[in-house]
Amino acid sequence: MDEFGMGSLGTHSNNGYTVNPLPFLKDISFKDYIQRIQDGNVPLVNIGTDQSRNVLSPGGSSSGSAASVSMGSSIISLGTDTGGSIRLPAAWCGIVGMKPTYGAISRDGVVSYASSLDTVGILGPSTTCVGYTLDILRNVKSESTVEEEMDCFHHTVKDSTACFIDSVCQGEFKDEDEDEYGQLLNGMNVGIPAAFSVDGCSLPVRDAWERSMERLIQCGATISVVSEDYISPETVKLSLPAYYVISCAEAGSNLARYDGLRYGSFYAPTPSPNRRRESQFAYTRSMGFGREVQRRILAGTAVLSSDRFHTHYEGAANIRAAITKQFQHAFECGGHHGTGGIDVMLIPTVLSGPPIVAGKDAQPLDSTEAFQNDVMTVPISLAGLPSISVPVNTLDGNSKENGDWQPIGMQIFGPRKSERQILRAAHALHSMVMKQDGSSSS
Amino acid sequence: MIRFVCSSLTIKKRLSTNKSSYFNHIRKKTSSATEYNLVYNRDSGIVSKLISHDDTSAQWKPLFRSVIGIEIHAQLKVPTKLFSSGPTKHHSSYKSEANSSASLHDIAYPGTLPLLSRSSVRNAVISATALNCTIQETSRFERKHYNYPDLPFGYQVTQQRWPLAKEGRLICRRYIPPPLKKSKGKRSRRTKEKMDDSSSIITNATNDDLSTFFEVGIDRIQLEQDTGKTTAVSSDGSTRYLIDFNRAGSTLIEIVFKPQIYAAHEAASVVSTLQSLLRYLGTCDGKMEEGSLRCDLNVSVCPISGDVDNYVSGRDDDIDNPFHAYLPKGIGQRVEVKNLNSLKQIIHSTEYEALRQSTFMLNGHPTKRETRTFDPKSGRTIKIRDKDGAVDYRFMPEPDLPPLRLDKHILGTNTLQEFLDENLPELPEQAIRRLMNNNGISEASALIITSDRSLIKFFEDAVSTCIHELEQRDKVVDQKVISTAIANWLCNDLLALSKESIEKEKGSNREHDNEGNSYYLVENFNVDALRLGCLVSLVLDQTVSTTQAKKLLSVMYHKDKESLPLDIAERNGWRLITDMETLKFICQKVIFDAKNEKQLQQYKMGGKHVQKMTKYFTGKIMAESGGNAHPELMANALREVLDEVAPGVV
Repeated sequence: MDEFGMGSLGTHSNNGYTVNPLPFLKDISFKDYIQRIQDGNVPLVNIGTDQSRNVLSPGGSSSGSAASVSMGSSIISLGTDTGGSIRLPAAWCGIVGMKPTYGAISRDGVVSYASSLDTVGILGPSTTCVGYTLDILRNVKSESTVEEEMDCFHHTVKDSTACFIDSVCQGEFKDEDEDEYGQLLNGMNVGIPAAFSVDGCSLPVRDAWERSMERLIQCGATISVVSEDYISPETVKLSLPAYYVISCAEAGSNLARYDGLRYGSFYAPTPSPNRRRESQFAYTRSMGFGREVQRRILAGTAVLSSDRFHTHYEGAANIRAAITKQFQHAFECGGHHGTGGIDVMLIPTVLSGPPIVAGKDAQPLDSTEAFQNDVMTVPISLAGLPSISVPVNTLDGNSKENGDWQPIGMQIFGPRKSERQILRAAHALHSMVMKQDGSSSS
Repeated sequence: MIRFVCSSLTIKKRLSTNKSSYFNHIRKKTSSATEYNLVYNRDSGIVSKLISHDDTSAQWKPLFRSVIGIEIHAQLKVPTKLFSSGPTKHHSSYKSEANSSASLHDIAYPGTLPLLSRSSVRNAVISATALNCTIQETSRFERKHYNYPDLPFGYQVTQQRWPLAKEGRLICRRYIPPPLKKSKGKRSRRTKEKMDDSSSIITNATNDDLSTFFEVGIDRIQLEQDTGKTTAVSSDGSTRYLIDFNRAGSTLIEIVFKPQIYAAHEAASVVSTLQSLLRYLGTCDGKMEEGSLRCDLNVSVCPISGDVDNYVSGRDDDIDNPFHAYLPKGIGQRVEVKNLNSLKQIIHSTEYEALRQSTFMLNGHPTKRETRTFDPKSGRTIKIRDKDGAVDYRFMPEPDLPPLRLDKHILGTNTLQEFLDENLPELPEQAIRRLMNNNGISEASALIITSDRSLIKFFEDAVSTCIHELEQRDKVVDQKVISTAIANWLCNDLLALSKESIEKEKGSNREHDNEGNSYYLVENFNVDALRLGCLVSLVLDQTVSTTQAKKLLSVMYHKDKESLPLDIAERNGWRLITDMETLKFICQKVIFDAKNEKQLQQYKMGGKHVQKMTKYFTGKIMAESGGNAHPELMANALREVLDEVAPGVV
């Protein structure tokens, strides 16, 4: 994974980059692949030793979690999603990745990156796996009496920011008969927020988005376009910088404890007689942290300084409040002609395919450009909403052979605590993808 | 222990004048700044300059006055830390060995999260209400960043913009410094009014031109985390610092007073009043010497009005100062003196700063804003950093904690008012007035009894036991007489015994006792309210004499910690003889004793011998009765017997 969860490509690690296993799975059909994972029959992946071979990014920061599920070495894996760190690797590794409502799974034990955004989530081969896992991990409110010793809130959940969601799988995930697909999403209103239709969206992604709408309609859902009156493109655009301001500020604060005295590797600098303690801290931190982490700590320190707090941090907090409000309003009444509500919304997880991070065609990576990969995921993170990324462009078919095939993920997200709804929609979409692509390849 | 190495602080000796002479006079009310012949009056806060003097008198011109703001950090008396289940020193499982009582969260272990302690919030709410603050139904936590090894997170969780409570006030009793100690061997006998060395506050409103009470505004009260403790160990020219995280994460309330304090003794009054109030509430143990109550001062001096324009360059131009509106025109830049641990240090550092700043204002180089610390050895303040070196704390909302809402979950009651009705006790000043008005006891005794809630309860229990006992024996005694008697026995005799035995344990270290260390821990008494009540009832119905009762109390305190006083009295034969016939019989026995033949003859001679011989017989009779004879009744009996023996002599 990327160090402290900071990165979108899986390249910011002490141990080098993470490899996207998808291109190495060419010989297995998607349906067989899922089948084999669910049977525990692990598909073997041989990455080989060819240094010149192009390596695709698995997406980050939960790169290893996604890759391990994708290549079949684990049936589910956990990750944290701060601005898209589960959904992006899920999309690029061709698996399902879910970020529940902020606080739905306890952060107790999670090394913090940006506390107000960090959300524990699940990566798995199917919505069923993810749903069952969520049911086990979600915070459950305990009715038990106060433990005197602790004298604290939420004794069973050691996380003050916990939120409590209902069970998500009560007979939801059975294999459907083919003729039942049309009934799966009866009555569900799926919104397509116009504000997320941005210029940077690649053609294959745009096609996949449209096909996904069609598939949801086939499942019985109604599609409504959520107009820019509800969710403004300006706010969506500003979400990305707002996200980086807030996450860097919190990261700088959360990482202050790694000073080499208690936490973090200790590096002894050449002794200087003056201000020895400060120089020791500084040296330890410049030696111990990777470049990206240092960049973000410095940015975070800057935006919290007294001369920037009001312009930067407070500005970002205002945008966060605005996007949260707009989402809420859209879900309440953003449906057709502003009359009905929206149950879930559908947008792409990421605008393009994974970049090549190593090999003969490897491109130099610019840190700020890499931020663009998060543009579709961070508005949802800022609002703390549950979201699930579903693979919609399978490994099968002819496109795989001609080299320009790219994995594509679609995001389905809903209002707070709507895990059950978004899993229902994601399950239907994923089942349709598997059914249709499976039948077309056979 | 976690260690780190650091070069020792270099202390810049910035002061040009020799100021050590200030503290040759620390026991006097004033001391002089040599260069300008300045003196500071600790009661009025005025810095004056000596303009002329001869052998008999001196003339002083008042030049400046001190203006003081106080911030107090009080460690709340709760069993666990503010955000973790780690034990505090008020928890039975607390171990004092360094770093043995810190939980993972207290040392900022990655992955641990804060969980707010309810009792911390409740104690803070009780304290803030007693300080007349407006309690905020919603407050928020924020992170204050700075880097120091004893701050495990690299930030302190505090409440900056949305504190728990705002706008309060404290009615302070004026502080009177403890009297000078006389030479060791000649400790004057305690008078009844002045039993308590630490009652160094005015007990009588009329005997001074300063009124007993004054009021100071409170700006805010906020909840925050305490840090660890750093100890410096020097050897071989280098200094190592040892850090103990046992204290890290303990609950503090920071109480910020408005700069409405104008003299060193007023500053001491604020702290001592607050200390007894929090102790009384039971929300803080108030032990300044253990760091449970710590104090930061902001001191500045201001030219006495009319003289403002002479000192223009010294003006406080800090527009960010939230207290700008409270500050008088022409005031100098404020200097913060941090971490004062006793009333003495508060008084001395205020005085030192007032004189130092006045001196610099006079010589045309007024002091700048800076942070200083007090060195108790030299009695001076020492600069730590100036304003240019000020830290940018980078305040940020604490993302790991939701806003603090005072709801049922936290308070355990439906409303804040309900919580206060159930948990806020009668406040000390109300209790003092009640005891004085309803029970008729003296202000001095009332002050002692109300220093601790358990002592009030003890007093009230003893009074009702006494009333009950007397009713049982069909004796009617005025209730105020009973209350006064109980108060006297409690404040004078029982507390003296308790104090004595504590001193024996502690040795003769009395340094802190003047700072108000509480002797009055009811748990330390070997005599409970029931036994004291019974004892006083025996005195009031004349079953025993006062002298006998004192002996009884001593036995009850030291030897027999179980028996009722009446049983002990009977076992020892201590019982007042009030029956006239019995008394007469004893008198006759002594008078007609052959050994006293000569004395009786002398008495019969009358004149000057009468008084002398009566005295002689009284002593003999008292001895004969084993000390049990009721003195006045015995005197009557003796007179009667002597009149019979030698009629017409008197």
